[in-house]
This record gives sequence, structure tokens and C-alpha cells, in this order.
Amino acid sequence: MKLFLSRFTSFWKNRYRAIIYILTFAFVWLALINKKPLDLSVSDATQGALDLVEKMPENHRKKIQEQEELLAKLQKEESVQSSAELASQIDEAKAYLERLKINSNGVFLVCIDFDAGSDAELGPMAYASIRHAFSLGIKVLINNGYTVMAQPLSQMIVDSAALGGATMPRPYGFKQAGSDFVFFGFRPNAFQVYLQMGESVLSAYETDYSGKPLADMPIMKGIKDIRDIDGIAAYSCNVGTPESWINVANTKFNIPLVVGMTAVSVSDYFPYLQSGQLIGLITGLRGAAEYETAVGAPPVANRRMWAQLYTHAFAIGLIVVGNIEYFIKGKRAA
Amino acid sequence: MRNYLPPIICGVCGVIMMLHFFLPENTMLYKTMMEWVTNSTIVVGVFGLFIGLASLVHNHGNRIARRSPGWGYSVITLSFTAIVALTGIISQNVGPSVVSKPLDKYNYDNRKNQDHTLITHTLFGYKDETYKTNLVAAATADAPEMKGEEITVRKVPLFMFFYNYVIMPMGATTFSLLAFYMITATYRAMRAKSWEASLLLISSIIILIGQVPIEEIPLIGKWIMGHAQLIVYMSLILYILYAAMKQFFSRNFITCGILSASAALIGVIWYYTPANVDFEAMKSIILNYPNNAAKRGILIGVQLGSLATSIKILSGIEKPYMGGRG
Amino acid sequence: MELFTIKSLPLWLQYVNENWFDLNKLNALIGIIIFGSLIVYFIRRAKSGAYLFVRRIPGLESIEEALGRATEIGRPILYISGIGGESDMQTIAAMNILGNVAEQIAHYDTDLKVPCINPIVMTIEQELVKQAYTRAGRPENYKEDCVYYLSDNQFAYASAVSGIMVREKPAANFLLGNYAAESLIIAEAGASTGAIQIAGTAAISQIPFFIVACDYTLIGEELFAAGAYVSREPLLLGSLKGQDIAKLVIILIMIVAIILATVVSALLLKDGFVYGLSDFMNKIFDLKAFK
Repeated sequence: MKLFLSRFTSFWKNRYRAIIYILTFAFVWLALINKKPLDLSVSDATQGALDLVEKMPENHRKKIQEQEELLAKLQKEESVQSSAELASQIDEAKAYLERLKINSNGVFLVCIDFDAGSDAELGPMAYASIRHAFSLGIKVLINNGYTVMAQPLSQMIVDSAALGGATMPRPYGFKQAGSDFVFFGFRPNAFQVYLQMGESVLSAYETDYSGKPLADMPIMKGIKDIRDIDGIAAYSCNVGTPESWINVANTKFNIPLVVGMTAVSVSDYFPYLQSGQLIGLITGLRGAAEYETAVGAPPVANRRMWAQLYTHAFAIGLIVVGNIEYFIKGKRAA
Repeated sequence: MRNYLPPIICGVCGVIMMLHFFLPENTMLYKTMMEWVTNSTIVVGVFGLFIGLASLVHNHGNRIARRSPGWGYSVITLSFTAIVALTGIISQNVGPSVVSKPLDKYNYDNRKNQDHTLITHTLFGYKDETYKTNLVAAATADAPEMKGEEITVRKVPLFMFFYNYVIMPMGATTFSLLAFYMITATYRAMRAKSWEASLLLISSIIILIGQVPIEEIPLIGKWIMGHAQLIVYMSLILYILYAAMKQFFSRNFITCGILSASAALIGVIWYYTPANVDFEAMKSIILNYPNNAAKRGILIGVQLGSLATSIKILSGIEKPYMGGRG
Repeated sequence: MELFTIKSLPLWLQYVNENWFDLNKLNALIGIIIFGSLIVYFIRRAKSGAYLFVRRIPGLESIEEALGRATEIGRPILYISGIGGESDMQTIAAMNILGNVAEQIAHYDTDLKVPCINPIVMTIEQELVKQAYTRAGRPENYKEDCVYYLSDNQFAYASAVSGIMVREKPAANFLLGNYAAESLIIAEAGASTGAIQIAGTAAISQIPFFIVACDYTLIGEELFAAGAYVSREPLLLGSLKGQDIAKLVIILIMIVAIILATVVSALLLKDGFVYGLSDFMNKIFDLKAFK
């Protein structure tokens, strides 16, 4: 028995890495036998992200109403005492109101800042949120901030979502580039680009990813600057890249912002969620699965949660085994 | 001149950027400076690209010339650098074609919920003509109005073929290695060696359980979650009683008494706590309170460190661009 | 309650606010002046010979041990300054430490390998290492190939570095700088070869990975303090002291603000001196304090 134990201990000490890798691989493949989607409750952080898109048409209509009231008030003031300043304010208000009415369900900007490595976690959440927006008739703008390799991936995601969503709870048909969505592509110096968007989106991006001029596109008739955007979602695998959006969208322009990150880095953004700078935070694969379940998108991340479930259970088992081993060794040493 | 010109340039540029931060954003000066900074960064970045390429070619070229161990890898590196660079530089429209095609790998429970991707490549490509979307017709569950529509075949660069079929899978593979490394690191590191390590251990178990629905594991999931409270409290009480027993045999009767009283108190708390242990709520509490507090503390320290380092560089105390100390 | 708005200011100040200086950032300017003054004061104190205590940082104490071990075994030392660019503070801090480490390595005559992800960082580090060898009096030992560029793709870089660790089996790995998801890949690859690993990053989410996989970890601002700690130069020690006192000032402000906010919410105050003071304290760090 002692000989067996010592041989096993020596074998384990030399090969424990390989054994753990093989077992982890086995548990991940075990997940394939499960096909039923997991029943996941939506956390508060993900609910904020859902609410941003869900309430966007309603909030946009409120904006239109407020703008109409403001215009009426300014026109009333002008009828009493006209001035050049008042006239220019009225012109600005009229122009803004016209733009608001063009994209009548709101405009949603999705910043895709991940590459192939993080596509497994972040791809489903970007895909689900774009489909969610399309199903509500919201116009979608997509750009890449810091990751140039995200361009082909973003094109694939938006093209797939644009083909239609007949199985969504709110089905939608084919979405046309230029009138329902625009993919801007990547421009270097993202922070400066975002600041430029505060001035004019067309000065930040002149053409879309395929080279077509933005000025000719129907969707861009309703978008002059970043204030015409009703909500922003930044999906990123790098800590630090959504902070540009927090500085620009939240601090400068007060635009509601949602961030989706890989689970490894998402804990860095909980302070921003708690302070209200973010209204939603989609936490890795779990958050993506919750989002998909809530909006009725194809359960891609949900399917992958089985692999995460089994590996987490395996990890907990390993921790218990490791601690038992540690206590036994400690007892023997004593 | 070599000694004082770089610090002067560094200091002047730093001061300009600092002033830029304080300028109002609507002013012409702010916009001009921003444009200048953006353009300069792009230009410097492009030069950096050439430097990197030169270093790569020089390094691997030397290895091939000297036949150093592993020089075969250098041949592969250089040849693929050349191939991919050439395919990117050559005409945009040379390469495989793209056709809409449905993929049925997401067909759950025999639903017609077929997800599909717009891009499938063939290496030698299709002719540049229109195709009826009968290929896409299988996806009519998702896009009924597309049936019978004509779509144009898009030609994409060969470069994109490398991206979609080489870089993307390799990037995903390398990122997936993290899972295996994390599990071995977890096994090695999560030991209750000290009270801080025990705290790390307990919080990591709570987060691991809270992140996934353990009750969905076939056969044992529901049993574990149903008896989670029993497992947690019993483990805690037994551990404390074990420690108390060790103290008793070491004749530390006061410590033994305190530990036994703690075990009894935990038993009383167990009696009065509600039936379910909500790991998701515990996970949220850990993430929202101690995690945030620690992160904010470290963030403040890091930002101050950055501020001090910036002041040192701008004032010329530290000159990393000149080989270290001045 | 607003202390004052932009419109309540005199016209000339409003003109300045619109054309020359954004008054919302006045608190940032005051902060920079105060903290800069603290740093300058302590640098002067250090220059005049005053003793400045710096607590022990185990990770930095063990650098010499790591270098000695590498020399004894006859294996190279691997130094990775993270994936940040040349303007990243963490990369700059890592480069400062590289200068000191390279000087010690020059004395020991051990092989140094510095694979880089950024070509501009590579050129700076080449110059750094060369200068370090010159300062140590061993310019002939400097090898041009020791600092080289791998790839600017995060995971390609991580794979390449893991390959270097497994093939060349360095005795000591320094993982200092800005890291993202590849941190654990690199650290675990190093741990599997049995190398002594000293890591340091201000990327908070990667610190736990380094703690579990590395022997010594510099957390957060210990990375920025490392340059001063290792070189023990008065100028650098003085700035370290200044930064610590600045942190103390912030902590004191936060404690006072917390006490005031607690009193205001407990007593449900809506006006008065205490409420005004609490509101002012809350706005000290706000970049939109004025409207």
C-alpha cells in the first residue's frame, strides 16, 4: 500500500499538469452531449444592458416630444421678442428635431473591439444586442475602436444579423446597409475619433468599411454628431479600451453606455457600474447567455455555458482535492 | 547636444499636450492640435511598423544564415510574412469568392432556427456573377423575403482567407489555452496555507459556484445545491472543531474554548438562516463591495504612480528614451 | 446646490472659459500643482541628504538572487516588458527597471533576452540595454540580437514567448509591464520550466494570475516605485516619497468626505454649512463641477 501510494504520488507530481489538461479537455467535450439551453436568470448588470436597447425607442420618442416642446417655447418667445440668437436657437432646434424624426426608433452604436481570441465570449453578446436592436427597428452603427483585426469579424457579425430574424420574439426582415445600419470600420487613435464624433460623425468617418461615402446614406441624414446617438455598447477584450467611451460618452456627452467584456477582465468595470457611469455590464459568457435568453436570440453562448459549467465543477473538485492533499502532507510533515 | 536635445523635445511636447488637455474643446486651437497629434501618431506608428519588420527579418535571417537550432521555424516565419504581406498589397479583388450559405450547426431541438453566416470561401473562387438565393432558401425560416432573391457574389482578397482560416482559429486556440492554464494554476495555488489564502480560497469557490448553474449538472447538480447549506456549514464547523482539537492537545485551552464557542455560534446561525444558499447573491456582494474597494484603492495608487512617473519624465529626471538615467 | 455656475462669473472669466481655459478642469490643474510641488519638495529634501524610508518590497529584493541563480546555472534571463506601447506608463516603468537589471546582468556576464511586442519599445530598449552595458564597463558583452521584435499580435506574442521559455529554459523570468489575457499563458509556461519568476503589473485583473503563477509579484504602484527602489537614487526616492504623501492627502480628503456624507445622509440635511461642505468635497474630483 505504501509503495503504491509513493509511486502514485511521484507519478502525480511529475504528470499532474498533463492529467489535468486531459481531464479538462474531456469535461469540455462532455458538454457537447447536452443540447438543451440552460435556464439562466438575468443579473442586474445584464438587465441594465437589456434595458438600454429595450427602452431606446420609448426614450427616443420622449426626446422628440421634449424637443417639440422646446421648439414651441422658443417660437413663442420669438413671437414676443425676436433676436438673432433666438433665431439661430430655433434653427438648431428645428434641425435637431428633423434628425430625431428620421431615425424614429433611436440610434444604437456598437463598438466591437475584440479579435478572434475573444470571439467565443464576446461575439454572441454583440450578435444578440445587434439582433435585439434590429428587432425593435433601431438603427445600428458599428465601429472598431482599438482593434484593427476586429474589422472582418464585425462585418461577419452585422451581416449575419442583417440577414433577418424570423425566429426572434419580434421578428424582423432583411436589413439594408446604409439605411438600417452602417459599419464604419477602424480608424487609428480611437479616443480622438470619439472626440471628433462629438463635433461631427462625418468628419470622424468619411466612408463606411466598404468605401461608400457616408454622406449619401439615408441613415446618416439623421446623425450629425454623437448627441444623435441614443446609446452605446462597447464590447472589448482589452481593459482600458472602454474607458475611452466612459470619458467621452458618459463624462462629456451623457450618453448611456453599456460595456461587455470577457469574464477575466470584467471585474475592473464594476466600480463604474456602481457609480452609475455604466448602466449595464455584460459579464463574459454568462452575461452573453443571459442576454441571448432574454431577447430570444439563437442560443450560441448558452450552448457554450455547458462547457463552462462542467469545467467550473471540475475546478471546484480540484480545489477540494488539492486542499485534502495539502492537509494530509501537512499532517505527515508534522 | 545629444544629451540635452531629447529631454527638451520630450518636455516641450509634454507641456503642449498638458495645455491641450486644459483647452476648451470648441476652440480652433484644440481641434488643430488634436488633428496634429492624430496625424503624428499615425506617421510614427507606420515608421514603427517598418522598424519591427526590419528587426524580424534581421533576426530570423541571422538564424537561418547561422543554422541556429530551430532555424526551420524562422524559414516558415519569413515565408509566411512575405506571402501574407504580398496578398495584402496585391489587388483587392484577387482571391476566393464569398457566397451566402446556411450552416445548420445551431439546429436545436429540430427547430428551424438555422443560423447562418454570410461568408464561406472557396479557394479558387466563383465567377463574378449573381446567384439566386436558393442556397439561402434553407434559411427562409429566418429571412423568408430573401427566397428567390438575387445576391451578388462578393470577391474578397486572399488576405481575408488567411485571416478567416488561419489567424482567427489560431487566435482562438491560443486564447483557449488560458482555460487549461487557469485550472492548473487553480489546483496549485488554492490551498488554505494561511488565513489570507483561506479567504482567497473561499471567495473563489463562491464566485466559481455563483457564475454557473450547478444544479443543471446531470445526476448530482440538484443534490449538491439542495444540500449546499449543509455542506458549507458542516465543513466550517468541522474545520473549526478540528482546529480546536489541535489546540486542546497542545494544551491551549483558552484558544480551544474560543474556537469551540465559534463553532457553536455558527451552528446557531445555521439554525436561524433561511433554507437556500444564494451563491449568485453572494457572488454579487463579493464583486460589488470588497472587489470594488480593492480595485479603487489600487487604481488610485496606480494613477498617482503614473502621475509621478510622468512628472519625472517631463522634467528630465528619468530618461528611458535615452538609455535610463540622465 | 451649486456653488457657482459659469454664468455667475465675471464676463472676462467667461471669455477665458470659452476660449483659453476650461474652468471645469481647474481642479485637475490645482491637483497637478499640489502634487507636483510635493514631489519637487521631497526631491529637494532627498538631494540635501535627508534619509527617506522606503519599505521592503520582496519582489525587488529578490532580483539579485534571481540573477545570481541564472549565472550559476548558466541559463539566460528573460525580460518581458508587457504588451503596452511606448506611451504606456507601465511600459516606461518596466523599461526603467530593465536599465538597472541590465546593468547587473552585464556585471554577471549572463545572457539576456528581451522579446518585444512593439517595434518602438524595442528600439528604446535596445538603446537602454546598450547604455546599461556601457555603464557597467562591459560594452563588448552587449549582443545586438538580445532585444528583438516578435509580433504585435497579443496571442502570437504569447505563443512565441511560451515557445522561447520552453525551448531555451531561462532561469529567471521578469514579467513587468502592462499585460492582458496572455499574462497567465506566459506565467504558466514559465512556471512549468521551473524558472524563478518576478512579475509586476498595474493591470489589476492580471495581478491574481501573476500571484498564483509567479514567485514574486509587484502589485500596482510597486511597479512604478521599482525604478527608485532598485537604483536608490535620491531624485527617484524623493519623487516616490512625494507620491506617497500625495496618496495620504487623497486618503485624508476621502475620510473627511465620507464622514461628512454620512452625517448629511443620517441627519437628512438639505442646506447649511455641513451640507455645503459635503457637496464641495464631492465635487473636488468632478470634471463637470461647473455648469
